[in-house]
Amino acid sequence: MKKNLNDKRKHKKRRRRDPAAGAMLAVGLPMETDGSTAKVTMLGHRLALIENHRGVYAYTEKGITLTGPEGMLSVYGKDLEIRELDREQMLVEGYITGVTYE
Amino acid sequence: MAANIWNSIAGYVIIDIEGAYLERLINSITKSGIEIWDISRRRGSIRLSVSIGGFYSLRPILRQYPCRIRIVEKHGLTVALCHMGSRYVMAFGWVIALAAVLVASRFMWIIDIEGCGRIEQSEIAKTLDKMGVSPGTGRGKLDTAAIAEGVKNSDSRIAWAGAELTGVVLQISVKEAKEDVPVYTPGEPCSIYAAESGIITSITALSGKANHNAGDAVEKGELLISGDLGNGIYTEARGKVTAEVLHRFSYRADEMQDMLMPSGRKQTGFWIELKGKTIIPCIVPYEEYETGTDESFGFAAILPITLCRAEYSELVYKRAKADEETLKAAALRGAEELARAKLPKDAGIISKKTAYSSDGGGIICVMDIVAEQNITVIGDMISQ
Repeated sequence: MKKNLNDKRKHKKRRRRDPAAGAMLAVGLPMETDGSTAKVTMLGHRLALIENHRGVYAYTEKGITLTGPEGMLSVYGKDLEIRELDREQMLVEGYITGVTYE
Repeated sequence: MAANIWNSIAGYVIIDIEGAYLERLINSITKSGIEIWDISRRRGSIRLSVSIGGFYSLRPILRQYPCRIRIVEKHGLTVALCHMGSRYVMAFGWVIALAAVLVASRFMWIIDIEGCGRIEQSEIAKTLDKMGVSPGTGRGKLDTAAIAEGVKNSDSRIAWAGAELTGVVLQISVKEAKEDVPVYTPGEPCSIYAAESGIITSITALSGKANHNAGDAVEKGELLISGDLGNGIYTEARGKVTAEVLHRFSYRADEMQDMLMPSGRKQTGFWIELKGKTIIPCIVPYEEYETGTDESFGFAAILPITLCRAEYSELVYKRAKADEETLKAAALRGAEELARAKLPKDAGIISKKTAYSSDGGGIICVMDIVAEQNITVIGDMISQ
């Protein structure tokens, strides 16, 4: 019972910190629509579409690190190339071995 | 995809940027709205593609960062046109060619006539020429309805004619009228006689009176269909009479005949086969020859190629005493040639018999042919 009460308090806190996300969920819209959440869509291990990024932090031969609304997002792999890039979306092509949040 | 097509037309460049803070540079470029794509990392540099307009917009941004830029490739229609910018003669040629095509398309150059059978295409072409329609006539001057009417009225054998102008081609379609069945006009009174002796198989009198029936034996010159109808009425006898006629042909083959015999000259020939098929044939210099022993050497262990060898002996025609079989064959050939020359073309052969007899060294072939053929011949009324 005590555990459940603590979880409820944490949930309330999260909702207070991010009211927009809470409103999205309540209405039933996808969370990434307001731009406060990065979204990664992968097609096998060849393509990765990253939406709602905040820019390139590092681009090395081992991987690409992006800044996102909730922290750093890294895409690791071999022969990675940025096929398309604009302010909010990036399409990465290559042999992707992993995606991590830091 | 549309963006790619547009970039290929408008033009884009692939550039290498070397220096520090390349990631920040990319972010600055992106934030300023310049579109970049195909970004790849190399040692100490970044390669990317940017439109030509975007490339010029990059300059102020690049000045803010310690980097060096190098154009690797240029693509696009505008780039290609720039290369051709100084080729005035080529541009002039293009203009002349385009102008020539535009001018030529104002005229009709090809006349296509279809539907001709009894009527020659050249007759229709002459008619069109008389009407002033020929290759090189301006399209504006062609009245297709008038052309069709003119072609139709030019010949009574044409039931319908149509004309259509498609591009530079004038299509003339013609429909011929069906042939009139000629009305027969009787000529001078006459009768029909037998050209050969035989046994009548069928007799059809179209006009006149038939004197015989099927199955009757007639002699050469006998009256078959009479033009005298009696009571002083005479007509031109017409009809068809077919009969079985016996033809006899005989040919003597002489003892001495021209035969192929070895001349004594020989030659060895080689040819190459691949899997049983000759790929390099052997050229034999003799017109007539016989092949002696032949052998082959294969390389099947390595390749399916076989080298073949044979001995060729020349044969020439020499006059010599022939044997009985050769004489019989020669006599038969001669009799058949005579039959082919003398039998009517429309005769149907019912039976054929051959018999051979010796005659002082030679052989005589007698060929009896029974053929069904038309035996009518027109004769005067007076001769009956």
